[in-house]
Amino acid sequence: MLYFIYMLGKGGKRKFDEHEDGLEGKVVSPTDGASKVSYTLQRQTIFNISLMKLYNHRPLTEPSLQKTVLINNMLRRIQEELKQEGSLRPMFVAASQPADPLSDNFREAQPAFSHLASPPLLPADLVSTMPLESCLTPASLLEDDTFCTSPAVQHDGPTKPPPPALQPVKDSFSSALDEIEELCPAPTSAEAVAAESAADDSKAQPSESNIHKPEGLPESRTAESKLMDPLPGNFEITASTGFLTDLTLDDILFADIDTSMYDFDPCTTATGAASKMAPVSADELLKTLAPYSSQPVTPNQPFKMDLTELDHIMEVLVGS
Amino acid sequence: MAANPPCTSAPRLQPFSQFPSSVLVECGSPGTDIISTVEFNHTGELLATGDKGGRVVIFQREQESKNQPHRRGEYNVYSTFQSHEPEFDYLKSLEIEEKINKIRWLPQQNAAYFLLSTNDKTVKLWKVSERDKRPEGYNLKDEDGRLRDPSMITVLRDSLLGVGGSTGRALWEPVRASPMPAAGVGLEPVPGADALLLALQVPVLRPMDLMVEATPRRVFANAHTYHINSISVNSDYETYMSADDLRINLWNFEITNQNIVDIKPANMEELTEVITAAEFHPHHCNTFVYSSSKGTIRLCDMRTAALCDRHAKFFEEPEDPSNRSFFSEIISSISDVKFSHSGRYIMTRDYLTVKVWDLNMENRPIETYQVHDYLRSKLCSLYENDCIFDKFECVWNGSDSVIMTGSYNNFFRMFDRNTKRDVTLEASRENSKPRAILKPRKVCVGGKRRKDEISVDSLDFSKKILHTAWHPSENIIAVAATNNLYIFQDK
Repeated sequence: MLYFIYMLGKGGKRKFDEHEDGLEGKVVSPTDGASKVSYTLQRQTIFNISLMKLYNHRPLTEPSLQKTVLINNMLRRIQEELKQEGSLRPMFVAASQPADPLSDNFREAQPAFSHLASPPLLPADLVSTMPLESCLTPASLLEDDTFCTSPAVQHDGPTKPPPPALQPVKDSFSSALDEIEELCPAPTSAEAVAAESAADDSKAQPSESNIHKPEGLPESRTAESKLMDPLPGNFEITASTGFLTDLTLDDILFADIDTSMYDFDPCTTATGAASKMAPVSADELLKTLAPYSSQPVTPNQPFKMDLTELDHIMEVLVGS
Repeated sequence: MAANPPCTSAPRLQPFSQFPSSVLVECGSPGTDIISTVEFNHTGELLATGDKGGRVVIFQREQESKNQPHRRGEYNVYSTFQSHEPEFDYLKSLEIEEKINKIRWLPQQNAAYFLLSTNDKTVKLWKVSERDKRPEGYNLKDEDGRLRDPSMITVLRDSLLGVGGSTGRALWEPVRASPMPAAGVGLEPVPGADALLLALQVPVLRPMDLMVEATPRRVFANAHTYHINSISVNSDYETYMSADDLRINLWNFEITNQNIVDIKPANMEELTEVITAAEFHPHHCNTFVYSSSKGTIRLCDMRTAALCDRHAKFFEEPEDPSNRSFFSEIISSISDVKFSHSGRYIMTRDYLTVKVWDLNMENRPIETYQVHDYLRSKLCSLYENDCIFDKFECVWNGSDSVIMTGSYNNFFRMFDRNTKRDVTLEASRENSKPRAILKPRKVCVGGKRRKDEISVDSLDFSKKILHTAWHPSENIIAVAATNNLYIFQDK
């Protein structure tokens, strides 16, 4: 989640404004390289915004089901799109498969990463014949998906041509990932995702000079790993979700975070309490997430991660 | 059912002017007096507004007096009452807002007025009645309402009944009580009496200042798990329906209710579509429509089955591939659906357009009107600040020839279906004086901005007109701009 908060800080916002004309809801030409990057950036931004909307507002009243459904559909669509794009590339099996009993989600995420190792194969024409409904498979079924190498790829209704070539995966990623796994032998999906982001961010630091740049590979891969995770069933307020049942890693990561990034510009928060982003402490954030989880949240649950490593990550991210 | 009276004047889009009392500010603590619904009753005599604080304010049109024929009937406050209070759902630890989502009037059947008002969870039937006489001269309480000391009240003696003696005493025998100061009406001191005497009297009705009181007659609660977005009174006047995100219930006014639509999936993770609005057909009491967040409208016939899960008609427009974007689904979500008065058409409002559908043609609307297409390039920002989820309503005029809907910057738009002309007007105090004619506004979408035009970037997205109402027979419109209510009429 750290990554997404960062994206919406001031730096990310300025970046967004520069691209605004090219980003806003326009159909991107499949042959234009710059547009493809812009398309990816747009999709990424929208994905981040959607996640923030779902998890970062603190409703005193029940959140609007219509809004939640629409945002969820948006996330699913982007997720599906990336899945389709991931299936275009030939399979690349990661050298070090984690042997730990990780959740299916994490296992699912890794092949998505591996796909980025090889140069992309972009069929010239993509037919979008699949109706939208058939692509919105329940998240639980994503585990059974096998990677299709057939060139005849079908996209859902509103998708666009796949994004441009992404940089090949760095070797240090797998090692960083293993490092995290050693620290947390049995992570849940939430931890796995956060672990990935932590690993990505720590890996990103030596490779990317400007951590603010949202177009870099690590961020997008982190996003992809998050994208492959199942979307939470947050329609029932009291239902526990795989995404949020265990908040241990999150609360450690959030403990020292500089929450000034939550202060949006007034011009972007035109509407009322739902979009108001007051500075929020870790405890408050956890209370936010409490309605979505039936399990009690204990803010100070100990976590086995090395805190010096954590400080290092924090330093990198906050840029201090 | 009585037919709607024909429009008294040919509808014109311009000009519209204001009543002298057109800006009716609702008093209340800041933030709670944001108007959340506006509705004329069936004659147009009454105009009801509900606000975020759970209050209902009813305006009544002044009777046009013969002495001042040039002075059109103005709307003045008729009644104010607290319809809903905030509640707390202890099971989910969440507040239930008292904001009034919808008000619907019942057709008038006697001297009293009835309306339904609803918040997210509870529908209430209110009776609004006038009182201009009150009984006076109670025996057991004085005029202030305080109970009198029972020992002060005399008992009718036998002598009054014609039995009894001629002792020379007064007709009323004083009660043995300590002297009390005289107060109120009806006390007659009797010489030699130790206590004051009261004469029993029959209370009489005396005229008083007109008082309008609202009493809740029914409370329809605990029937909706999700948030109620619509209520609609049936043309049979015996039933009404309430719709939330996933279910529609049919109510008899005697409280019983029955579920007629249920789109909740077995696994909530599979939920991708919700109900956004619902309305009964104005003439056919078995027919209703409901719209969805995917831009579809379903027409259902209650005669086919008890649970109307299978629609009789399904209205959906195929997606325009040239306009496809990430936000296509969100902007296609229908925020309001309204039958025309004739019952032949339905009108739907999605984020950027208003569409008119013929009930006999399901595959596409017969008319599409762009409300603020210049926002199409701003969808990402509007998604970020949640404006893309704003639910605009739309209304027909009495003759179904003009449709109206709101926009941002306190703008509202009218479309003439016959001439295909449209106009943008603004509801704001700065720009309008009483009796002034509203000036058409224009949004500049690009290129050189003319003097009176407003550029898209300077639109105020916090000033949104979501709720409007049109008088059933005359060219009088009510426009709710945040916490101000504007009433305009055609000159």
